[in-house]
Amino acid sequence: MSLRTRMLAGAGAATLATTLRAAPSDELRALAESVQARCFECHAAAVTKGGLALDTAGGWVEGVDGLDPEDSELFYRVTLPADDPDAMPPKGPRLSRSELSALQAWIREGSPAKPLEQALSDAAKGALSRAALLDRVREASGARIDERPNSVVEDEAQLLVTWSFSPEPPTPARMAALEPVAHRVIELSLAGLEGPVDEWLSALPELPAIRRVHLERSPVTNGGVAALLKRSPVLDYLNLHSTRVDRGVLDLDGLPEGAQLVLFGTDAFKASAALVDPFASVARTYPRRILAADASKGRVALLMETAIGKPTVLWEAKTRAIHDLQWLGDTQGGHGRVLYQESWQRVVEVDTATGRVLWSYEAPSQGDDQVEIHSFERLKDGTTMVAESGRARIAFVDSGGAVVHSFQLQVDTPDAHHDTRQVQPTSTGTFLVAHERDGVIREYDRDGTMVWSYAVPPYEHDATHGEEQREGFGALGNQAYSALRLQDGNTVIATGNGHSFLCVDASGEIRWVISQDSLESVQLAWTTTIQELSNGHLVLGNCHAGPDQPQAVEVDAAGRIHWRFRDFDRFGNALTGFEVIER
Amino acid sequence: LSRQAQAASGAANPLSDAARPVTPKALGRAKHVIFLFMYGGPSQVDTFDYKPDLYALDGKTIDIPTFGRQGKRGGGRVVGPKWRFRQYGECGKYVSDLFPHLGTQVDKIAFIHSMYAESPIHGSALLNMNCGRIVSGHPSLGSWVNYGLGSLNQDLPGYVVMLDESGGPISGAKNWTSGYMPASLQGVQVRTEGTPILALKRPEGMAGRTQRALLDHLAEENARHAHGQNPELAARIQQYELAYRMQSAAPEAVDLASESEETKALYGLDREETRRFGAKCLLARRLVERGVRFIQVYSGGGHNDDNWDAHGDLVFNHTRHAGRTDRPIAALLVDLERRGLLDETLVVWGGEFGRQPTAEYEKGTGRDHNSWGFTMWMAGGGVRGGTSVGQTDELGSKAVEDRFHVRNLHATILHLMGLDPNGLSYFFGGLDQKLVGVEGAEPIRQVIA
Repeated sequence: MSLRTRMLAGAGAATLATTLRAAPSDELRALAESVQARCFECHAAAVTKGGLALDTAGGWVEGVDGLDPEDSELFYRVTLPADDPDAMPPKGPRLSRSELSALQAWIREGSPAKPLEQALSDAAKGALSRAALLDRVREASGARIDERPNSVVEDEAQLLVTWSFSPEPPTPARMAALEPVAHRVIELSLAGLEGPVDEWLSALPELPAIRRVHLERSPVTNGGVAALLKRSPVLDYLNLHSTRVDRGVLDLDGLPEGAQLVLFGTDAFKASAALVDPFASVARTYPRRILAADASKGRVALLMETAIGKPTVLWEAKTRAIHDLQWLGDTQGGHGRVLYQESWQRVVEVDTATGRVLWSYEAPSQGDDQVEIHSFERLKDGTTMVAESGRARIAFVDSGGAVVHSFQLQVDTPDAHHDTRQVQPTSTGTFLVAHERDGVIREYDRDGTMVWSYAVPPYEHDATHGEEQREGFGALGNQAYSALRLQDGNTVIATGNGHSFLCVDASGEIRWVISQDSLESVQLAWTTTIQELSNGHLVLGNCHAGPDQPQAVEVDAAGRIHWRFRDFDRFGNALTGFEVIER
Repeated sequence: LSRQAQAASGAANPLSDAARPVTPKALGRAKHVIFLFMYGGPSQVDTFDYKPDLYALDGKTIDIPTFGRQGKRGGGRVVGPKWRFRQYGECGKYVSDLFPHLGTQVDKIAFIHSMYAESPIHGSALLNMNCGRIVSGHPSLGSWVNYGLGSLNQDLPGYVVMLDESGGPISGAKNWTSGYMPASLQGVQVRTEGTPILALKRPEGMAGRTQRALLDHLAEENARHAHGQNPELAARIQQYELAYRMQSAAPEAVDLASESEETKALYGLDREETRRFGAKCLLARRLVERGVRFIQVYSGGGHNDDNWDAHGDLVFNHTRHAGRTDRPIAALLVDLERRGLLDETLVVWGGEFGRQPTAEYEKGTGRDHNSWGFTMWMAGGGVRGGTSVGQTDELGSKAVEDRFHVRNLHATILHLMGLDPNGLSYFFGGLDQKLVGVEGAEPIRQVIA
């Protein structure tokens, strides 16, 4: 065959040419590298599954069917669909189309050993040199370098570089030693290191791919950060907490938009954000808190009902006498300002967090005649309403303790202890006064004009009764303790030793009654406090009922009980001040 | 034991350099794990698994099968949840009043309400949660993580365990054992009070140089008969060396005095109730900063009400343990986040199982063990915050929707650390042993960001 005919033979000519030329084609090199990366785990060196060794050209040749090269096992298996049980490689990406073409071409060319040997050898050297390069960089830099597979560029693992825990502290020269692999570095850490960090950073090579940098707890300053930013165009995380950077770091050029910048514990942080309570939202979501007072135990306390029915104490104080109290709002940590009385004559406002007295009022004496305070309330205008029995007046006291206004109450049977029990302001600016001895609820406007009244019907019999039954379930009377105007305009009245709560409308019609035994498994004795919760439920006080009965209950409009309060360890039979704090 | 060790060395001997810096196949987002172990089994319906219908059933007898330490029962008296739940965060997660501080952090947390384990008995359930099996001898999660990823800091152990002051959990060190892996992969106990690491201090009168010379000589002698083929000896030599390096590194790592007053108060170190657990959480953060891979902190130890095992008075028990841990755990999440470390640190919370909706005894509020359904949560480290996956039935008794075995939790943790849970194996006893067992397990995808 002449040279000319050989050349005309096309594929045959190529075969000859390739055989003669030991240097492999670029396609064959790429194929060898790919096979090395994907197949050597099972088909090279000591491990030759199925007897197939792909690290030598001889091994490849054995995989080729001499009679029917195009149908060789070596080619057939890598062209099967991925889900075929015989497909190779069994896991991971398949050979690419161009790699398959290169394999097909090599088989068609008569599976020449020489160029393949060269390609395999070059591939091995390449892998070795890449590994060796990384080891050289590790040694020269003294850094720990972890590799992370790169899904974009095969065999070019991304690098995570840290000096933070390495025995060799960095130097400018060690930082510069990253240069050969700098384009693969995606994370760098100098966290926690002492030394001239700014200087080290200035020695860094360009880091075109770096995303995360840890410099926290190091003495880095704005200068060092500026040097870093010059070299790191795609940063998306920079940790500078507890470093020496200041506010100026926020104005440095080069920090990509949206990057996370951690500045906690630096001057920049202190300047930009006031230290806020990280649990500030706790204050909005406290478990139910309760303000309660019992004269018989001489105790007023702020409780938090963490477990249902088992409150714990946040604050408590002593009192000699108490018929009223008021929660004035949160201060900190579940505590708040509380208005209560220390005696029949003295009312105080205290911050339960500190115990400091913020305001106080002492009822002025009236010659030799006794004056007692049985109700008080801080009003929206900042003044405090104080009801004084004996003097039978309501006084309005300003923040300095001066009485700025007052009006007289109408009392049929004056008594320093019994003129009033609780007085509740209404939303229309009037005051609902429970006149205990008279057994009447009277509503006054601010000038003392009586605008409404309701005589509480005596319970069953006359109010005369034996001493033993003065307070218990058998006590009889109409010594009203409090009256509350509801959102719907009706008025609920605690009838005291009438053992009931009455709801009456403006015309005095009784709308409903909760009598001594109408609540399931509860017996009412001396009814006292009334509170309307935001959900419309009423919290009702029940005194003198003994340790087997709840001291307060929460009921809905249908008279169903939703909550009971019973604590005869801290409180006793005279729980006369009670407020559920809703927040 | 030597036969076991030989078997282990049949594979490429990982013992010769067990704390070797390994290059993992893939580096996940999490580099560290802090596992907050609520020993004894917190009640799910009183903590994070809100069951509004259960309150009204309080005291009523219902037919519902249960399986606890009392064996299998067909029903019992319902104990309604003893705490109210309220909504927190943007996700509106319901959290009980046991956790007012932790409640504020729910947007960082992924709750798994449908966990189940293989045993309702403490000892075996603890091993299940820590080592993947209910029988002893298998390496614990912390060992697997360190085996797979290698140590970041050569001067500190890669795996630290902090116990409750009342004592360790049942089975003690089996819960942080390295099993058939080298001893250098086992958990090292660190204490926040007294001597941080027992038996670490250099003997009196011995200078550093003398000790170095002694260790060098020991290593030389050992090398003569080890021939690099005695894995236990190799592990022991490594322990000596690690201990030597720790003598200088550990005191700095455990020094809480260098923390700011604000930080100490954040963790509740200024309050008697939270002081102890707070110190452990703060120390856990310091260890994370110093490259420790896996830190386990126990809430509760010893017996009875010294841990979360509320058989008697539920309110007393859970008030005690939640009160000690609520603020410190919330503080840990806040502190990790503000220091930019939360996305690299996976925080895991939970016990070995949960508790039943019904009472264990005729009287009282105590609940028996329940491994058929319980709640665990994870935060940080690539976890999707503000999510809740899986459900128990309306009584909180049994996982019914998207049920997850302990293996799935382990698989999730390994996955988030960049390890392949079904690929990470250790050859022992003729088998490629895996934390997730021969059954294998998929990570819980719903909680991964």
